[in-house]
Amino acid sequence: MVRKLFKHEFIAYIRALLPMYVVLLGIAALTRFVVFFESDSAVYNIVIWSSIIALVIASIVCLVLSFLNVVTRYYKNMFTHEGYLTLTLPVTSAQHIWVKVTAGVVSILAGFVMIVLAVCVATAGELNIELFKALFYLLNDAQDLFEGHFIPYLIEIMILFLVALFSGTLLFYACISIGQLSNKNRIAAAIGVFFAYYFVTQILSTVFMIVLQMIRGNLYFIQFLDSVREFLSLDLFWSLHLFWWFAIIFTALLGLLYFSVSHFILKKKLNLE
Amino acid sequence: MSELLRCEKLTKQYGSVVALKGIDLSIESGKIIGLLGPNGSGKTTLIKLINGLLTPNSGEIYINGNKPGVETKKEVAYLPDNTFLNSWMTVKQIVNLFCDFYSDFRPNVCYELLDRLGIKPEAKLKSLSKGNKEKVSLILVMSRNAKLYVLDEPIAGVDPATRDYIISTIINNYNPESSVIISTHLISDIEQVLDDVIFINHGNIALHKTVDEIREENNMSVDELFREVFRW
Repeated sequence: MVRKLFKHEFIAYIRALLPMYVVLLGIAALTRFVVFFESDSAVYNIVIWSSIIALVIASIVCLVLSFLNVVTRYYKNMFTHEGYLTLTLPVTSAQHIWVKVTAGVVSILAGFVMIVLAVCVATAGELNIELFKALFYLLNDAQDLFEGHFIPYLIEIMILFLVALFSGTLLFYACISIGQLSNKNRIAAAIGVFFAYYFVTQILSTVFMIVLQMIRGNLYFIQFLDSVREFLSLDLFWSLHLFWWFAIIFTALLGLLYFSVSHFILKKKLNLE
Repeated sequence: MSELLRCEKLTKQYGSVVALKGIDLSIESGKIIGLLGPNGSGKTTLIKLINGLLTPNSGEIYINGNKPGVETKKEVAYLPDNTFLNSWMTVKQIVNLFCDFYSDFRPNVCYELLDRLGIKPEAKLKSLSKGNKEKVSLILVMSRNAKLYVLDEPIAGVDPATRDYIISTIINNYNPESSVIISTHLISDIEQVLDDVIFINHGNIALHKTVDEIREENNMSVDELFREVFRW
């Protein structure tokens, strides 16, 4: 069933996002085509800058629409008239959420890949080769500077980014699900829940930092990491690994909490209008 | 005949409004049951509870011995009272979706019924008329070999010829060992196909009898009895 859910989820995403990818790559190809006629004329400068600005705007639109599509698809597919079909399929609510969040994260990543691809197309040729060469040298230098830890750091940051994408998407799902508990104005309720959550977490983290400063001084977290590092006999580079993994696990736990909220509401409190 | 659906002290509230007031109900297999009541009587609420789209405030529902969940969704074919199909899909895509998820779905029956209506598999759902969309929805539901069919207002808002088509599609395609619950307030159109009727009013079961019992005991048709029971 999960495989079938993925199949239909990806069909829906491809249908929604493919035209945008085509437009983005089209603008990138056009930009490259304009570069081909390089000259000092004012007209050329206007055209090249226009196409570069169009490429930047298209890239931003690509990311924003990818993200909006993930959120609106969950809402529409689960809680509007489409929900009458989705929620009567012989599938558990947990399977629905995991498939939706995974397909959603894949579609956002696809948005990033398309932007990278668009940059490659727009800079195809010598510029492209120079760009990759520069990146390669930069990577080598960083690897030496960090005594071989830089690539593992990059991998950890990518894992953190991926986990944060899952967790962030699940947060939006949880807010939409909580909004459904309201008897009316469910979208407004979902938006209200999101901003209330954001406000409360900001206040809590500020209070937490103030309390820590009052108790242990303003470098408490670094001191804490230092003491853990000393306890585990780790050097400075390894303590940064510790920091990344702490962030990954903390973000993943938050994601699990958001998932549990949506799952509980779909399983125990569902009230489809 | 075995018990297919049982409701025990089923209550559903929307805020301060009580839509179902602790109803007890038992439905056997092999019957066509009319769930009859005026607007706002609780018909759709009961149907949504059967399909797990609402959570009861108290009480229980059992479908073939199971509470609403994955197992019951495999056995219940549900036609909502509004359009539930994704309009961007083609007819073929929605048929494939039903094929993928419902093991009791009969694609050959579905395509035959669609062909009789002249609806092409490549047609986009949004290009179909409202009437044809409703027919496609009904065909999809009746193409399942389900144990329980739950049809919410299948003949509301359609012309008399379409009503006849819908009723004949239901009669000719349901599995005789299963049961069909048809919610409606257009009783005269559907009366001739019903085995049992359930009158529901203000969230209470006002009556649950066979059509024959009504005719013998009350000496009137279901439509006449309905008008008498629900007279303003």
